[in-house]
Amino acid sequence: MPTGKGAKRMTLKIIIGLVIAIAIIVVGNIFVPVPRAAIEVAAEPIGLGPISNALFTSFILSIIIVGLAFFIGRKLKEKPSGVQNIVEVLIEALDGLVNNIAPKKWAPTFFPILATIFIYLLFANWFSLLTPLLGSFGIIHPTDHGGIPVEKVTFITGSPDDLHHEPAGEEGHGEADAAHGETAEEAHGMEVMVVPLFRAPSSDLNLTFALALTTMVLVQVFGLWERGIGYLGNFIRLDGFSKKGPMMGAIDFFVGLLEGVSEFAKIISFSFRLFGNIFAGEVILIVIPSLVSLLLLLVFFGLEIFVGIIQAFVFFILSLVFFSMATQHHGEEH
Amino acid sequence: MEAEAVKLLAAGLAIGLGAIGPGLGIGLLAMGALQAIGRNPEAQGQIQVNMFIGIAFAEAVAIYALVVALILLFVV
Repeated sequence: MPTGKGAKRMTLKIIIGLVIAIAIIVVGNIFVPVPRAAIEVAAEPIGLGPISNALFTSFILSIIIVGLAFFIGRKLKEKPSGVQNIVEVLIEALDGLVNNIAPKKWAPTFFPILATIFIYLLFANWFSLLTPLLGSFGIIHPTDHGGIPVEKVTFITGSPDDLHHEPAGEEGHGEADAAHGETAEEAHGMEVMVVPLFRAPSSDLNLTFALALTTMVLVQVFGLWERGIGYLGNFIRLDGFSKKGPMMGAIDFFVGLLEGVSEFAKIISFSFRLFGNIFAGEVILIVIPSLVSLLLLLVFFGLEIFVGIIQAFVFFILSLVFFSMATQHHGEEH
Repeated sequence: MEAEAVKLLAAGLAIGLGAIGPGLGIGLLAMGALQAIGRNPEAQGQIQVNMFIGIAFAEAVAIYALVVALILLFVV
């Protein structure tokens, strides 16, 4: 049993820490109460036809990235400083990785594709950090259950009267700022839902699936390009029959088929890995303020910054490895 | 039990149980990688890259559980 002054001081520190933590939670809950926001798995339409809020955000992000690249690239200096330093470090690190892993011949082809994926995903993932802020700006439409009372919502354009005349299920007009109100209160008016105008692109399955599909199609394209028709021998293995006999040949053939199936499984795991991580992060950022405390959000912001960069990196490194595996000649190794 | 309740329970169990294996796997992977880096710090870059690839494959199992959970919640 540790006794004496040191142990006592330790215990005191722990108690003080606990008291502070509880105080933060209690104070946060009493003075900054936050109602629970609606959580939607699918990206919602925002009245622009087929353009959902995630797609809308991805357009904006693309413009921002292109703009940044243009302005940084316009005044490059011999001795880099400021932003140019950061960009150079990033690009050099990515280039180093590609050159290390990919075959010499293909590295220059792979690099632009993979770096684009990484930089775009970095922005797309980090956009989810803005969800607690931007999630409350959006288009209002009436809902039957689980909405916010209409009085709690601030209308920027339009008014609550516009909503009444519309049949249920259709989107109302008026962009509005959802004020935070207690949902538990019995609303005497009608309840409305705010569909956010902005949503992190990678928290929408459509974007991650499209990226995964593009990557896996490119893998096949590069494989066929480098190894010709022999690349298909990966999936339809017939040479085992003549070399190893019928029994081992059949096993070899089956392994080849499994290889083919796993190409499709890669699309699914690629897309759901990114979607699951970023969407779960968004849900945490939305739920934590109402569940525990607004102040605890800071901790999760730190976590989400980390998750965003790791997921972008994982997508980058996995595509790099799949590209490299497809363009290497397996036949000669065995 | 109601069908809705069973659905919710099944979705929760699917992702909860499905995350056990990958969790263990990722832990083991990170342990192995850290030990390897401790023994041979020069190979850190190579080890890290391979660790990430391994983690991604272990994580894929959890992702299939997630897909099943989402299908149970929203499609079935």
